Amino acid sequence: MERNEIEKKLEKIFKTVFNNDSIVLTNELTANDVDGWDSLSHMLLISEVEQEFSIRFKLNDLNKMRNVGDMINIITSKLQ
Amino acid sequence: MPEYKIREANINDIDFIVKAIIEAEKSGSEIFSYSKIFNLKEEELNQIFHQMLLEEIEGCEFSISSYLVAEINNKIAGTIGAWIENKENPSTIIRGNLLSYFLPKSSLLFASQQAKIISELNIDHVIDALTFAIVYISPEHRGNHLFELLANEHIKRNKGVKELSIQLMANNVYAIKSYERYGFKKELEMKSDNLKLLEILPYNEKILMKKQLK
Repeated sequence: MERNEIEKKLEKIFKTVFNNDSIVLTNELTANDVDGWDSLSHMLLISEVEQEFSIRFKLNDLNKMRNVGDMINIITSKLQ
Repeated sequence: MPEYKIREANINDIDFIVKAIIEAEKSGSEIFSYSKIFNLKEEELNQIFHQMLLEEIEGCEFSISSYLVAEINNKIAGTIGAWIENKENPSTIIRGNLLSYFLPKSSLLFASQQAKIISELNIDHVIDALTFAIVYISPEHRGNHLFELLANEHIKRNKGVKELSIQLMANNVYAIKSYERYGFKKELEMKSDNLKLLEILPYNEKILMKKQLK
């Protein structure tokens, strides 16, 4: 799957989880930039991403993610 | 006054720390929010919290490294779990990662139905503050200034910290008074009139308290 295709799918998940159609994903986007990105919504986000891409993150993968760019990199590496 | 020894927690203390997390979450009520949010029994969550703490990941209440314990005659009398809230690696995300990894998918699905209502009481953590998340003193040791002893030691071990913060439910009057005696002041109150919240959380009002350090 191409990176921009991953981004598109991810943006759709973000808009649903955070109930906000105006979210635009950038590599630098973090929890500090999105209203309502708390523990619970983070868990739902991770769960939706795993389901959409049919992957399972390791705990180590999750702890390395500092922004959306990291998330895309890890998804990409899992899909290869 | 008994002579308590304050030390860092280690994995042998996990039973006490899990109890502390559960009791602190209940805030003196019978409602254990994690049970309600994730549709799991207290015993099941007890096991999951054990597994999370064994990972020894730093920066939230499910981190052994966050805890100092007060000990007397080789028994733990109380604990405070605290960390410096970091903007780059927020505790909400560290906690969310651990929960999403260890909880069953069915619980995540169940929680998604509760997410909106719970967010009504959400108060952001204070960046760079020493954040006291879990405070628990065994009933037989209350009144012995253990909060003060443990809090002072946390401050001593986090040199340069300028601010303390704590969030708790507004019904926890006894705790609020003891934090005020220590110098905390109410900074923010978040209340919801949604009565359904009282079926999930111990109370429908949350408080942020802060203390500035010299």
